[in-house]
Amino acid sequence: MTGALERLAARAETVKLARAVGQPEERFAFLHDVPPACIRALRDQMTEALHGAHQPVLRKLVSASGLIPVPVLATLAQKAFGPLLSARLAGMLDGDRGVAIAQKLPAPFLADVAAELDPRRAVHIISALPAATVTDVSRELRRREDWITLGRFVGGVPAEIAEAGLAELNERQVLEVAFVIDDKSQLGTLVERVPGDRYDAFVRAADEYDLWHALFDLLAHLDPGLRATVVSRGLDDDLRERARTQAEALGVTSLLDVE
Amino acid sequence: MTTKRTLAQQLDGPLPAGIDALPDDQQQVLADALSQARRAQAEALQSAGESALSHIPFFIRRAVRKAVGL
Repeated sequence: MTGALERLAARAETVKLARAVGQPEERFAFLHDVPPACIRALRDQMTEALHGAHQPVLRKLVSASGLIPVPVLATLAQKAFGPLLSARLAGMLDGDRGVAIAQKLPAPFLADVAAELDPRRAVHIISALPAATVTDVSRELRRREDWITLGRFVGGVPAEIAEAGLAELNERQVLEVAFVIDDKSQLGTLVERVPGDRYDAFVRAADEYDLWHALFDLLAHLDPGLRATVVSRGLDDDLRERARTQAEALGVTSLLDVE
Repeated sequence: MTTKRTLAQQLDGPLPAGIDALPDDQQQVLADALSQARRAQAEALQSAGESALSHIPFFIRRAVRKAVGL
């Protein structure tokens, strides 16, 4: 089963790598057989390379931005810099100024920036944003079904900020985000927020939206006790049969053996 | 082996083992994707430089020009 789970993880890592370089994931389907840790390491290297590129020019822009009033910077971000450059610059601004600019920007533009941002580089800004701003941006990302960006933020910001962003996810959305989240050690917390009598919603979402791979990946990252609870409460006879068929196809049937 | 060096050179370091083991044509796909992402970033910078000054108030434009070396 380890090989099957590795393949699921490689698939998730491939999705994230494709996003990092702005390409469709199908272009990198050959990575599905590569160890996921290697794909993750490559994505980190690519992210470093992209953030390291054009540093002298970016530093001059940051230096010049100190001369410009915040409202003008907010206009510049939207009308001149655009989301990609704004994301690069955000990681180089000091926290107070970054927060002041962010608060002048509409949630849809901040969502555009978030999609380009490496949250680890801008954690000093993100962690100081008002919860309402985080919630608005998360809501916009959900509306766009941008699970990768939501997943990156969960792993890249303090827990209380992540919680504000994830509070309104339904079970299908939890599956989508959980599949691409970087730090899967937090998945148990995500699932435990859902009332136990709604665990069947995870399975129904997997069935309805063809998210079996995400459900099994989620189950694989829960501790055995919580996994047993989700499986035993979530599967009625009808769903149990379909889940087993899907698990067999993916080579992960032992995830359902909890009795 | 030129392909491999190209990707490794762009990343300024050794490739992860599982990537290093990929055939050259697949490494080339990765190298091309990274190049395209770099180009998109360079184009964003260029276009930002061209339009930013017009949004900056006249009274600080000279100081900003000086700060960015224009």
